[in-house]
Amino acid sequence: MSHLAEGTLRRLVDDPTDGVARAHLAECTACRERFDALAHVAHSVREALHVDGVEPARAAVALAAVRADLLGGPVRRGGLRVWAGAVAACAAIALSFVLTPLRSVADNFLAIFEPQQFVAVPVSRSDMEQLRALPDLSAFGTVRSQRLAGPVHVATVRAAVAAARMPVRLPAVLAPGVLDAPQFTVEAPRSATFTFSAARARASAVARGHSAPPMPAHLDGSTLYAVVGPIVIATYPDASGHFQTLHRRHGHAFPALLVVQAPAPRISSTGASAREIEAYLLAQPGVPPQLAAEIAAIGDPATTLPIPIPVDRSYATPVTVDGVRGLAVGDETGVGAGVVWQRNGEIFAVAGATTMRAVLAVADSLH
Amino acid sequence: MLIERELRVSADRVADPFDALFVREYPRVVAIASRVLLDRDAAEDVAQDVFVQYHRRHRPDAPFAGAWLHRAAVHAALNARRGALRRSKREGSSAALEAPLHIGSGSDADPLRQTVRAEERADVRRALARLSERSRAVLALRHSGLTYAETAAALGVTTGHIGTMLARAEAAFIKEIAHVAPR
Repeated sequence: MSHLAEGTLRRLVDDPTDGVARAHLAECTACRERFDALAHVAHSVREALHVDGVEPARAAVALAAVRADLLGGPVRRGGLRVWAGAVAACAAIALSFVLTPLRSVADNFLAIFEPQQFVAVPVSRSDMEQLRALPDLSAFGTVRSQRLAGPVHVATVRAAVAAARMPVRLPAVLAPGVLDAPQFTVEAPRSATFTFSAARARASAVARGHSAPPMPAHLDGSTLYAVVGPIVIATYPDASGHFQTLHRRHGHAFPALLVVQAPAPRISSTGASAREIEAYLLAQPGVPPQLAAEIAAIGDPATTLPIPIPVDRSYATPVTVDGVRGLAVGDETGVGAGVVWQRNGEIFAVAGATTMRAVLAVADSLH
Repeated sequence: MLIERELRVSADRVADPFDALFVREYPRVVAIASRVLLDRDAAEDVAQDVFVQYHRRHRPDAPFAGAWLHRAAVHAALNARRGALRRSKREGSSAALEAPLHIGSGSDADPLRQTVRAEERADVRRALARLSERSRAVLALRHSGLTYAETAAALGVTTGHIGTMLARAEAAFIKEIAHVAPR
């Protein structure tokens, strides 16, 4: 048999399954010497070209950056800063007049993989107090976010479309006493990752003097990546041109009318499922057991976003809006009303210091 | 039982096809670009651009997805390197060749070892710079863990050529290393 070709010998270094070539090698000293030399060179080159692997958390940040890029967001890569709480941003912004700002389990984590429906969870005043006392996400792991542009304020829908790089639907019908002179706020897409850390959770439980349940091994080190936005918020003024009406009893400023739209936020995970994460978070000390049971009973946390509704001053009811099922939230005292729904992968919300009937009429007239 | 069923459902929907492609291929795309550029941050930028380009052009479940990404990683990294070389030439410096080296183990605490390692990396960089782009490509692809078939698909040659290309590229690299860093 003639001597082995260089390419065959080199391949034999990586893949010793070529029986014919190996048989020749066993008999031919010249080829064996060439083989040894090639193997030595290959090994040296491999060593010289060694690079460290990509950590999963790093890959997750990269995926979030790519997703944000694809959404057309002006992403500046590299600079990561802490950013949390955008997970439920769409719903939270729209309903902020009913949902006092929650830094709670519900707001931060009830993992939306891609919310398709919204379910009201009644929350009592004492539940609210307890939820507010809960630590934020950073007590359970590491939050990283992509540094992104701040909000843009524009006065025309054309400018809003240009800034958001997505179509914007506007109502044909407005609530009574609302001027058709909207201003637009465009929030750039945001992306964030969160990596669970059992050690961090333990340390922060100790710091707060709690004995927290151990983090399941499967959760420890698993990473969630979230992409939210762009969010377009159209704010309409009241008849006297004011964009916000201060309500004396509540002390909050309510907008006359808000129309919010955004692609449904997406959260993906390197391992942990929405159900596992929900179970772990709801088991934290300080989460009212009754509330935990109600949230756990809702159904698939991958597609359902629970919206906490203060029972003592609001009501919530499923409605048909814009041709799909949505959730209407109103204030018992008639201060305001809102509705939130998901249609074709986009989340919409209409809310304002007006009646539910007016809000639904506005929502149904979006085009 | 209900919970078990939902667990499975949730796990199934963890990643959409593009996310799954990304999770599977991103480390290799970064590895390939890193071995061309010898600069981890630049390699990650290249890798992310490659995925953005892919997403705009092709379906995530296309059968050629892997080969496309690997090939694009090599080309984009070579392009990025040419761009850096042009810039450094224009600015009258060798900044591109002497830029800080970000690959390899960064956890070495010993400053002497770090220095030695940085010198070795500079040697590798100079040796690679003397190779043809085709040689750099085959080295980057194969040493990033691609099989012979995958390397061949990314380079647009038949699998039978890879052994020879690899052996020649490695021999050339070792010769250049000896030249830039005589021991």
